[in-house]
Amino acid sequence: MAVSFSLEPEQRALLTPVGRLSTSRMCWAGCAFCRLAISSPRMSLPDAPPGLSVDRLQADDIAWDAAAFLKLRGGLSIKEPFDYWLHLIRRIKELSQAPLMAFSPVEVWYFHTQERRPVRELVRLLKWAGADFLGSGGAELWLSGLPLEWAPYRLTQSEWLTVADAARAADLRFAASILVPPTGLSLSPDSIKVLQDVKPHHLDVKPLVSDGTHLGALGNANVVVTASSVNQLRQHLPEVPVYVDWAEEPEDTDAIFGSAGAERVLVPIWEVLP
Amino acid sequence: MSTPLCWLPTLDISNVDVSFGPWLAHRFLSSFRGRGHIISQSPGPWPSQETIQATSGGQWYCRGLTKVPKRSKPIGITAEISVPTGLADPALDVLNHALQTGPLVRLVAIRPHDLNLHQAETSLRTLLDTVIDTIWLDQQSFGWNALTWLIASDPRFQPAGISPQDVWRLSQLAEQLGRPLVLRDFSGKPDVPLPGLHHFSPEQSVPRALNSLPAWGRSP
Repeated sequence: MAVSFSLEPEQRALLTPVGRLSTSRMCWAGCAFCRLAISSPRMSLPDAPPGLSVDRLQADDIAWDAAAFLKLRGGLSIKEPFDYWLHLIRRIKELSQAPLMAFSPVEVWYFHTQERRPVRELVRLLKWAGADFLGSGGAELWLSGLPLEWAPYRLTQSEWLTVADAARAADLRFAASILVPPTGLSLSPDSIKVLQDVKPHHLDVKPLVSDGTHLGALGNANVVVTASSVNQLRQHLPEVPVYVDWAEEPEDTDAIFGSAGAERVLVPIWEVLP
Repeated sequence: MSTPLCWLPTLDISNVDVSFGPWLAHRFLSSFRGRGHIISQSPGPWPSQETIQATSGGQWYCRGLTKVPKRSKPIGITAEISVPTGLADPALDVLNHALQTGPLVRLVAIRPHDLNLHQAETSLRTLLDTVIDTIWLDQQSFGWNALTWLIASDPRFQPAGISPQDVWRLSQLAEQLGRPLVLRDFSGKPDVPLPGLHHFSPEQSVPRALNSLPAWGRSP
C-alpha cells in the first residue's frame, strides 16, 4: 500500500480543545472499535446503572472555560429517560458557552426505539434544550467501507439517514464520522454520493485507535494515513469541512492535518464520567 | 527501487565510563548480530563507529565548535546540529566548522522545542538543497508525528535514534509508503532487510462471536 497526498503548505488546522461528557460507560452494543464502553448485558432500564448526574456537573474539577467544544455521548445502557438528558443539556449550556455536540444518531435511535417517540420529536427537543450539533457517530463503518460485523448493533445506513433528515428538518447541524483504519481509507462512490446528498455540517475523521479494543491486532492509524484520508475527503467533497478527532499526542497535528486540508483538530482535554 | 527507510541502531557510549563502555557496546552489537553503530569518546574495535574526539583517519561525530588539530584530520564527519532558524543561528557555525574540517558524510538534525513544523521543514529542505542529500532526524526531539510526516513527505529524510521497541512504527510507515525497511550501519556490510509487520486485514478480521450477550465474553 502506498499512501499519497497533495499538500497545501503553510495551512494550519485549528487545534480545538474538547471537553467530553459521558452519560454512561455501560453499553450493550459491543462496537469493536469503542474505547469508552464497559460491556453490559442488555438489561431493562430500571436495572441499568445511574448515568451522569446534574450534580456531577457542578464539580470544581471541570475546566469549562478550557474547552472550545463539548461533546455529550455515552453507552447505551442508560437508566435515565430522554427527558432527563434534556434537563442535563440545559444545565451544561448554563455552565458553558462552548458549542455542544449532544448525542449522536446512535443514541437518538436508541431513545426512539426504547421510548417509542418519533425521531423528529427527539431531535427537535435536543435543539430546544440547547444542543448546537448532533454528534457524528453511527455512520463510521458503512461510510468507510469497513466490516459491519465490527458493530452489528450500530445504525444501518437508512436509520442514520433518517436521523440526519430529522436533524436537517429541525435545523440542527449534524456531522458524519468516518473511521480510518491503519491500512488507509478507501471511500466508495456510494459513500461519496451519500455525503454529497446529505451535506453534513462537517466530516469527523476518526483514526482507529485500537489499543485496548478487540481490534488491537490491526494497530493504530498514524498521522500519515489520517492525513491521506483527509486529503482524499477534501478532493471528493471540497465544500464540506473536515475535522480530525485526534485522541493521541496532539503535537504538530495542526500543521500536518492543516496541510492535508483539515479545518480543525479536535483534541480531548478532559472527560467527565458518571 | 524506491529509497529504503533505514533503521540505524545506535549506542552512544561517549558519556559512559571507559571500563564499562566497551562491554556495553559489545552487548549492544551482539543484540543485532554484530550490526549497529557506536558513538564513543575514542576509537574502539567496532566495525561501525564515530568518535566525539576527532582522530586522524577516523569518523568524527561533531557536536560543537571543538578545535581539531591538523594532525587529527578525520576522513569523514557527522555533524549533529539543531535545525537552523535563521542565518545567524549558531547551528550554522557548527555546520560550517564541520565542513571546513573535512568531508561531511552525515547530518543529524535535532529540533529545538519551540520550532514549528513548517519552519523546521523549510529549514531542512534548504539544507538538503545546499549542503547534503540526506538528513537524519532525531526522533526524540522531532516526536513521532513530525518524524513520520517529514519522512513521508520526502525520501531524503531518515530517522535517527529509533529504539528497538519502536521499529514497528518504521515498519508500518515503510509499508504505507511502499518503501523497504532495512537495518543499516556504516561497517560496509550490506543492508539487512527487515520483515514487515504481520498484516491483519480489516476485511478478514472476525472480532468475536456475537451470538450471545454480553457481547465481549471470552471467545471459544
